[in-house]
Amino acid sequence: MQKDFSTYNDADLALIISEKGIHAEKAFMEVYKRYSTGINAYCTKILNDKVIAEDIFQETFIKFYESVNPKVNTNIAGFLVTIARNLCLNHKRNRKQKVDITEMEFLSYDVQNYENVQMLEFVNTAVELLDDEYKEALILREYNNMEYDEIAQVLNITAINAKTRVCRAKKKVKELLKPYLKEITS
Amino acid sequence: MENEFLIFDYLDGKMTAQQEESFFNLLSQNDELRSEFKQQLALKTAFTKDLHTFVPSPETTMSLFSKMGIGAGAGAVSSALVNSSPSIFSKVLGVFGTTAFKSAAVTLIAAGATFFGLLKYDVIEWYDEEGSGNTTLTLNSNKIIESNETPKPQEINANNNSSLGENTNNSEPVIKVVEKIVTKDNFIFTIDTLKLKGEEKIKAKTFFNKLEDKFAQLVNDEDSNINSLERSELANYSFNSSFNNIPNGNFGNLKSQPINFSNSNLNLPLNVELGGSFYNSKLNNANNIDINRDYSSILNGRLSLFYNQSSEFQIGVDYRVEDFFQQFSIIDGNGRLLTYYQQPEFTVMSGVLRYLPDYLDYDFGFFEVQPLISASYGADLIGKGTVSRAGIGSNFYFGNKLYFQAMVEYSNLSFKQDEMNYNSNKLGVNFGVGYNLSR
Repeated sequence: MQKDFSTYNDADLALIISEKGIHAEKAFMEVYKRYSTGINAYCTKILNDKVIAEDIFQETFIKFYESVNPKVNTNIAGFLVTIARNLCLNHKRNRKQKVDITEMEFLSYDVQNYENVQMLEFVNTAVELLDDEYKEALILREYNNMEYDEIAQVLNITAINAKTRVCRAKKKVKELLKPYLKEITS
Repeated sequence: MENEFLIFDYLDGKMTAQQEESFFNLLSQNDELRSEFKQQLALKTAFTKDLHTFVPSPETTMSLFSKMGIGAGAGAVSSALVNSSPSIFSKVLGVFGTTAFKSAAVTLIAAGATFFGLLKYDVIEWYDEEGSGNTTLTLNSNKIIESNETPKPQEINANNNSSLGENTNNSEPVIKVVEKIVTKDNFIFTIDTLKLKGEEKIKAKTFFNKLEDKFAQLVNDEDSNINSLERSELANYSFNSSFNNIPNGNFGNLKSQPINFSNSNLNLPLNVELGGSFYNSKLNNANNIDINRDYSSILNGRLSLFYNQSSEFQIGVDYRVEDFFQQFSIIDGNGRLLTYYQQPEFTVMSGVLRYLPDYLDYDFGFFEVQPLISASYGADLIGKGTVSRAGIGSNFYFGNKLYFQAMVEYSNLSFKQDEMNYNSNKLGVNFGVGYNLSR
């Protein structure tokens, strides 16, 4: 018998994982399938270091597996992001963030069309250039698909504040990519 | 800012139908808003595309599951890859970042797969080393099919811009394709994008050709460093690869069709069961005969084979050697009481349909209870009679594959003897042990 865990909601998956029964691993795999991309994006973008990000990404899921409590952690995405965030913050305390502004020089490159994959690079770099508080809100919204109240919970701010941060972050990214976007939308 | 919020709300799907209508009206009247909307839409699309570049690599997933002691990483990996397949090209650039952009370094990223179900958690790793001519193929993360004295394979760092043909260190692998694609009966590798130039394309193709040769060699070469068990396992696989060259601007994309490792002998969606029954048997009906409803216990044996059509339905065949006990009496014309006993033995082959509702499945942690209902209809192999059966019970899984079964079963036998039709029923408990090959 193979259960189709894709039909299970987060709370049920959390319960199955916490019981550590014979279905726990498969339930965990479903959680991984749902959220690994978003968490990986969060870690990578927050830390700007793919190798460290990978370690923290893995540690996030290990901690999740070990500590998920279905009574407390009904919002798996929020719980995962909280774990990842704490790990990232711990790591960042020990190193100084530095973004090379000269990376933006390639924004002056010619753009042929929007589908050009360079756009992804530009967006990536523009996001990197954001202040941490805006960057984090934007990543949680756009890469982890979290609602504003969920973002607020993770960042310990109000939902209105979360929405404002996301909007400002988008505005900032848009400004950085202005020449690009103008060409795209013209 | 207000207009921007409107756009965000629309893109986030937060608007009601009425609000959307107003928004569209506003858009049609306001050039500035329209331009702003297009830009925000472009950004939103870019974010979505960018997200796809963050699908964890199979190596990362394997490493994580290995650390956690989870053997079953394949489903998640392959699922993630399925989801990511449309964005492989963007993944390539996302991973290699500006290095790829500035240096046009050649990079190979392998990803993209389809899977049909969870089966076995194999890793297949391919390495080629420039100049060494060695190709290592590893089946299972802990089983080295052939190692020779090849240095331990190293992963190409995501930031490493070493390229095929530009490798300066002969001990570094030039190409690495690591995939762990688990399907019901296939390992499917799709090398979605190879961003290679001229000569490098040829080298890559040669590399895969070498893999094919190596595979054949592993199976056929008695001297290769694999034991007979591994060899017989390997013999269950077949290896095929093919490539299409697709010109694309300054670069050539070398794209492979799925490379299949087919293995139809493993993890079949089958259950095998062996069981016995304790029955109370009684005669229910015989033509106008006064029936003595005495009971007797009879032990029967069975061997069953089921195909798991889905997680909830099984169809199968049931082979049983069983008997039905019956006792009845009649007063003959001389007033004598005659008592007849019958214990006809049948060898019955039945078709069985089972329903195992997932929602009733309960996991107690150390064992799992899987309720089931069963219906079957079959005939005696020499045509003495037919048997219909219905049962309700549970499988008790201890572990992933082995289970015990207990089922209350009702059987009805119809048979003919001495021109008389008999119907015999029995109600009992069927105990069995089963093995699930599909888990």
